[in-house]
Amino acid sequence: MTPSLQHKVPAWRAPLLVGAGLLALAALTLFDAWRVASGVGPGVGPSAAMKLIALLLAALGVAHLVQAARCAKRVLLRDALDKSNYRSLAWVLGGLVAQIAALALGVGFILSSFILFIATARGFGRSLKSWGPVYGLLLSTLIYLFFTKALSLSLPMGPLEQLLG
Amino acid sequence: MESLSLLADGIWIAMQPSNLLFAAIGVLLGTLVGILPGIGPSLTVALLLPVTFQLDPTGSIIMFAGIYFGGMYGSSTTAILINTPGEAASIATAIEGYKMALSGRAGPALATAAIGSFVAGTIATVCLALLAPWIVELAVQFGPWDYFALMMVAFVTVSATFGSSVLRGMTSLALGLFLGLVGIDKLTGQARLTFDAPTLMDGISVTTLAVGLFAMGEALYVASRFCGIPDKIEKVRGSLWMSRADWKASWKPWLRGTLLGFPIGALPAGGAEVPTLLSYTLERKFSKNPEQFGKGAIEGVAGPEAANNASATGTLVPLLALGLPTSATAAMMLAGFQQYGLTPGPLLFATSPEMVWGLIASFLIGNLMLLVLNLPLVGLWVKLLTIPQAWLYAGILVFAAMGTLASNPSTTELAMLVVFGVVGYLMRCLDYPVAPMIVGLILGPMAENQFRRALQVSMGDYWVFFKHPGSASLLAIAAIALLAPLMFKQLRRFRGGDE
Repeated sequence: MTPSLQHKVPAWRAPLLVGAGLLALAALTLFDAWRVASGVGPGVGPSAAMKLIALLLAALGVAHLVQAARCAKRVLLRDALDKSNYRSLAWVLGGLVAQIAALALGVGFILSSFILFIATARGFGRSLKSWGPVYGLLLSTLIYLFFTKALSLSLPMGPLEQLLG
Repeated sequence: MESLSLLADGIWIAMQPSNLLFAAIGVLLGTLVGILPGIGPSLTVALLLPVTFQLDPTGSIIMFAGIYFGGMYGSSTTAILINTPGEAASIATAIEGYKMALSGRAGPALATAAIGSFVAGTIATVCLALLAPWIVELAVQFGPWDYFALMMVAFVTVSATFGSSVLRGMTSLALGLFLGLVGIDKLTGQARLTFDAPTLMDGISVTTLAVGLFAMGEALYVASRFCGIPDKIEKVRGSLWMSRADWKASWKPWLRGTLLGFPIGALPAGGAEVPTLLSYTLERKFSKNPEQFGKGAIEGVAGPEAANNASATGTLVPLLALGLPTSATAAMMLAGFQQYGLTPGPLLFATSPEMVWGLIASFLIGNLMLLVLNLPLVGLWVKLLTIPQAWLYAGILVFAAMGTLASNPSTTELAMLVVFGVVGYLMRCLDYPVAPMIVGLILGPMAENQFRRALQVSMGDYWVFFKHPGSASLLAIAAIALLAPLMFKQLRRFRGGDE
């Protein structure tokens, strides 16, 4: 996964992708604006702003494509995305996805946050054998207790939370 | 001097013991979070917004102001001690402050930053108190066309004029405007871009977007740059106090910084970067020994820090008097107001003056409290900087997830947060600014509203925006501000310079 130093990236790649993305968003907005009825009475309805913003997105998309075409021949020595440490990134993102999945399964706030904490710590090079799990459990329990008891906010409940009352 | 007596009333409200306590907690929490590396004031405000949910409006807004100032102070501490400016506005501080810390003068650097912020914040708050009622009087006569034109100026200045690239700033803004469309149209009740998903009906929450772009984006970015080498922290060696020479070198830069910062912040001119960098250049010019600059000149910390704080207070002028956020932090403040069901603007001055003036007064108190609490506690704050990255970012992510779940307990909202986090990460990698996106999300629907109201009043006549001198000249300013940088670029190319 880690690119070698000789790895080269064409300079047109990023603006091309961004431009395509913007055009796709513009198309999506325009498509939805079609469905929304225009208003009655004087002035403009709810679809006018959608059309205007679709136009703006499309114009910016085209500008990106023009930029991509302009630097078609140039080559960058690795852009910021390629310098990324994808292992760490995958751990952190995986932790976030795992938290969402755990919450959907009804595990509750403390344990799902605990999962997020240790996965993130793993991404930053701390293994399970470190103090990480202890800190994580302590932190998520403290946050839970402080915000539900002291500030009476509601956070997702699970078996552990029911135990704490 | 009616506003001064109103300010005195406000001070009385802010001096109530419970409100003092809120201000103190806010300042401490703000510093605590703001000092963590990579966290700027706007992220501090976004992360701590849920903490203030359950308080009464006056108390929570006061606490909020404390968080804001605490966050700014915390960011400058980080800039001085580990050379990681939390945001562009502390770059100048980081240049000179870090050099001062390296040569064992971290104490005076922190002190001149804190006292300079206090001086600038106090003067700027008094200016705010004098200026805001005057603008409110003016704003009462504003029609929807004037508001719309004013928002156009804000859009352009935030995204195009001061960014590194007009195209990137505008793209970020357009993405924010796009997200602003999502949800039920307030005038006709029709759903836009919701694709029948119930969570999207209420629209995209500004807090979720801000926490996603700033907190998640930053955590993912730092993770992607992780290589196992921790930051180096400069110890606070030597005296914490400024010598007589330091005072003598500092007081003029403080005042000049305030003079630069407040007006630029108060105009819808986007961000504190411009006044801080202007102040840095100015101090270098005025300094008796300019060769000190780049090696740790105290003037280079004093001026920009004062400018930073004054311009932050300045952005509150359009926010409070017109309801117009002109920076990412101001957008977060507006989100906070909306959370308590308040809409800043001329109406708020009329309906709940005690709240507005209590808030303005609490800026004074918050600034004073910063000075009293933070300077002696600097040792404790420095300890916070030694938290290893792993625990720090794991904690930030848990906290960010907590804030989102507390405001809307659904996994869909959390998934949205993660998606915005990935977007924020990509924008950081590809060098797109994130602030315009947040301003676009919050200002876009407001601008649309004013646009449609203007057309309703004029019975569908589009010339209404050009018939009124106010809106016509504002639109002209917006057009010039958008096109000027592009034209300069063309000129440069014409002269043979390369981009």
